Amino acid sequence: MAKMKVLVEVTQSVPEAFSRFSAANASPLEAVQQSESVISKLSGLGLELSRDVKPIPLFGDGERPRMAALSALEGTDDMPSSSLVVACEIDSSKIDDLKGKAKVKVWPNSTMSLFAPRRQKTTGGCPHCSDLINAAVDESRFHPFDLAATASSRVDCRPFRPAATVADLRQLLAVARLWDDGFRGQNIVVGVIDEGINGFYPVIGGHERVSGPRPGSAEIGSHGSMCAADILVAAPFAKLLDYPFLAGPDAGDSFIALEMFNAVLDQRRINGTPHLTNNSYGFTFLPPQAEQPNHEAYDAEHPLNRKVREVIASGCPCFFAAGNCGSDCPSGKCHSSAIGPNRSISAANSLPECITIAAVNSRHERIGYSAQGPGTLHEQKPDLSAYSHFFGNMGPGRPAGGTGFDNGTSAACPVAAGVGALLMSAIPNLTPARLREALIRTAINLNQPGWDAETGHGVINAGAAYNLLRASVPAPAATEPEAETPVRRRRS
Amino acid sequence: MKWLVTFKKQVGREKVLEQLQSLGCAVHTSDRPATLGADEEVLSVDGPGNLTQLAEPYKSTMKIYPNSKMSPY
Repeated sequence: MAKMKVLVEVTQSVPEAFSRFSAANASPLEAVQQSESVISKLSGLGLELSRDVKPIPLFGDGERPRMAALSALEGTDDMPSSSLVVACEIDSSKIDDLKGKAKVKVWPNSTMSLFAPRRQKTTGGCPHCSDLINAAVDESRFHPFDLAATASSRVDCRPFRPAATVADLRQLLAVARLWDDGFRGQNIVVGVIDEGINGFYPVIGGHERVSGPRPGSAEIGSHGSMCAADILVAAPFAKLLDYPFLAGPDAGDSFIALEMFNAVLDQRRINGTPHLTNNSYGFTFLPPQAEQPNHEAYDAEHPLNRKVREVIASGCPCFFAAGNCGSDCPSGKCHSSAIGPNRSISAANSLPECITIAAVNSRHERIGYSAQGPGTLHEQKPDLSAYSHFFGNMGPGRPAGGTGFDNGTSAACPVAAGVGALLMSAIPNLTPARLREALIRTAINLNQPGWDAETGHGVINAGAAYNLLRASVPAPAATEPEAETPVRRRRS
Repeated sequence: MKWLVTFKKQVGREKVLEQLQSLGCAVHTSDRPATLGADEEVLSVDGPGNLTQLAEPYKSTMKIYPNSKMSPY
């Protein structure tokens, strides 16, 4: 279906409309957020914001009081809008549905031409990009978050794109609401079950296997160090426990993971930490179910799955990366047996009690390698999405340096875990189920309303979850949903 | 092939080790044995690829699961 460019006018009185317009001009991120807010009630129509969009306020549609105010504009502080206009694209088949929405008017967004010949534009560039990327960049299409051409779909499969910064993510996650109230993850300890973390990060302990690496001894460029950095995006004052199961003898074996989760449980028995765990790993190959019916991916009673559930039952939320075997552009590490829906989110990553995280970029486009549900042990997976492709541990000026950037659902998951840590520092006795529910209820929905197999319930938002948790009364323990959540037994 | 073997503590570790060795398994010992719930233990073993079938006579004492390898995402 052909896409049409339209202007969508939404009746909305926004106080201090000029200030908001200035803020949007000053910050593309603010502009996107304002625009998304304007069309937030228009989901389900496939409406896409145009590039470089920002809401334009209109001041009255002929009402005399507003026009009188405009005629005396000079020297006034500000004024409220009567409506806001955003530029969008929509399938032509959906135009009538859009026009039928309350308080919405739809206008053409037509293209005008110069009356003089166009001057040749010089190409711009990015100091961090390769020569190939710089050669392809057209300065007129520059967007601070994306120097590649905007794709017509909302799936990001580009091999490289300039990454967002930690500051960008903090704004997107709306951490300011909690930070302003004095909460930054202090008193919260996150267990990172991974390859090991470098001592640059606040590692206060962990688990050392026989012949395994010592907690806090990994290289700064390690996968676990990336996860550490990304937890600290939302919760910079959190501390970390290092469970290096992806390093040392038998690295990556389920038994080693089992040992790590057992160590987590033991530590929690001793002093209640870690308060939550991050798990950015999983299976990139699945054997046929008929051959191994009790594989981790297919059998909820596999010891590792049971141990993870024990940890969660002890009050410790477990964040799991969805995986990078999404069908649009899977990671090169993925075997065909583990690619796409029904396969790419498996084993403990798909347990109903876990919080399973897919990846979006800072423009809220799903990243094409992000794994797709249903999960092998629970259909509605992933649960949520969080941000990847940003300068966290890696990148210019970052602890590991280089020109790369934090990527994969491996990076998105600890961003979400950091939000979990931040919320746990603000809300006492926050149970895994209550945390999960709050994050789901306040997620920024991207596709159809509710849950979808690619982005879950939407993008995690710390500020909104905090508001909900502060306003709500916790449910009694007897009615905690995880006790009733059925585990899907995968049928071959 | 790598396997995980679970058994109830009351069965006794030594008995399970004997049975596994009779099936051609090499058991990895750990100074921190993994437990499940209040009354189960887990062993990591190297054994034949068809251990699930071979261990059928001992299904009242142990359960066999794969010990598969995961990768970072």
